[in-house]
Amino acid sequence: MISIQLISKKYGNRPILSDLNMKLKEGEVHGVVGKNGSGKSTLFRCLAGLEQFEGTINMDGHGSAKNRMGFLPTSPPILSKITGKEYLTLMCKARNVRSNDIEKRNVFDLPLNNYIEHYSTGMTKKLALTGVLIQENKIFVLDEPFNGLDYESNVFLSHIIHELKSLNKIVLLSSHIFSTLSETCDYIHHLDQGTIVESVGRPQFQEMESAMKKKLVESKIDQLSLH
Amino acid sequence: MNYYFLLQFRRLTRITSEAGFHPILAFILALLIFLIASNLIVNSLTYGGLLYAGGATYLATSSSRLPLIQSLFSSRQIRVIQLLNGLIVLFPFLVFTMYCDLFHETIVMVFFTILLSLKPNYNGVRIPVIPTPFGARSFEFMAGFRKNLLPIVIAIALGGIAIYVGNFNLGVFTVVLIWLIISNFYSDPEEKFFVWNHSMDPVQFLTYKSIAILKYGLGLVIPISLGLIIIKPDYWWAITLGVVFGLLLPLSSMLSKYAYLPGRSDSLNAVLLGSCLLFPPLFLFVIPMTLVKATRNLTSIL
Repeated sequence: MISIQLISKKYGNRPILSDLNMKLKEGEVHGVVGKNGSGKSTLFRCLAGLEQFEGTINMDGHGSAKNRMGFLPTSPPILSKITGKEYLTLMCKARNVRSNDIEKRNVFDLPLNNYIEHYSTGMTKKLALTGVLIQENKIFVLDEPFNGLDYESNVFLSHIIHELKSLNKIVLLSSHIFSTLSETCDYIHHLDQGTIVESVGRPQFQEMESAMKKKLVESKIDQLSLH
Repeated sequence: MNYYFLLQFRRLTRITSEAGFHPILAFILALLIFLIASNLIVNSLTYGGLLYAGGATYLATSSSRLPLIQSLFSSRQIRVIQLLNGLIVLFPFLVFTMYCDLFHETIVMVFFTILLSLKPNYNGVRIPVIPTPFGARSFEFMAGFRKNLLPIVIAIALGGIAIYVGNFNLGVFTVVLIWLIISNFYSDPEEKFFVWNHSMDPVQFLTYKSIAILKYGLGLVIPISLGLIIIKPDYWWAITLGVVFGLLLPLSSMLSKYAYLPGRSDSLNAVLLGSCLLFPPLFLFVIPMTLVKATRNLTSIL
């Protein structure tokens, strides 16, 4: 189980996360929703250990879960003059896992012998995702994994997430596509101004979605004053 | 287009200011370093003039291939920008070669700078993957080898020529050049993600990066060094010493990269590394200091 307790993070004087609490158990898929700048990516980076923060994150009583965690950033960083196959080999070797069957595990049919810099945005995302999946992690922190993927890959990724759940892995993901979230997640957390304002199970999510839509429409359409 | 050059000038002044130098002071320092380095290369090395011209042409023609200008300007404008960029970078080198009466070298520099600046950019053309002799564990060597293929090939060819004609000085220059190229593999900061991804503690991580330098760096340098020992057996100790001290250069460059991650190393560190080149025993002070800083810095990521 991952326990996130009272995480706070500031950039200068600006609070990004404020006293955030979460508990993620094995075999659960958690989704985080919130508007741009609500702190989703910062939360994920804190969880991965890529940002310093106040508060504690415990994984089975241990301080860090880094070596068992696969992290997919919103815009996966790439290395120039490196092929897809070399990238995946690097990902495996960095975690000391097998790298001899990479081509067989190329589920997104990527041109692994080409330089990554020639990949499209979606292909880069698929490559980074493959890298995270073949690392044999226990925890998956996926920041907007569906963003930039084509329809087929979106469907496939939803199935992969279900498979990870059945393998008793912990998955935390963010997305702006509510239908995908309600299809894949067991729990959805609404993040606003760095705090979780609401956490609901899948059945209640649609109600929450309607409420959020209503709030957004009421507050913004008037502001736009369309004629 | 004028605004593009104005922006380049502003960028340069901002970079020097952020590095802690007043732009005028930075200009004077750069000029001094340029004059000392130019004088050393042209007057101390065999074929120094030609090497100087080659290096200057490389610098002048590799600086302007920015994707940004390719997306903003037309093909004709890009060529004009590249040509002007090239000639601006080449200008101090031209003044120096003309001052030294190196007229052939001056003509070679101008000719190749114009030629390479005006050559079309092949946007969208897939460049074939260049095979490398390095394993996927060290992406710096794989990517660095591909990015610096031409200088590496030139350095190895020069090494071969040095051994063939028995020119010891040129051979030593080649070995130094290869170490400098390898150091350059570690000049760009790396995304924190790629460091974070390793299941290692900072000491293990730095050890594994050092082993890659040792293994692959020596793999590139040793064949030329052995050739030099064969042509000048009396100087075996000097060559060995050169290889060992040369090895410390990419090692300190790698440590600096991780000491300052995610940013670039500061100007003080650059001055320290430069001083090590002029006085190699300084490495014995700089390396442990950078190692401690890198280990501390990596602790928060690994």
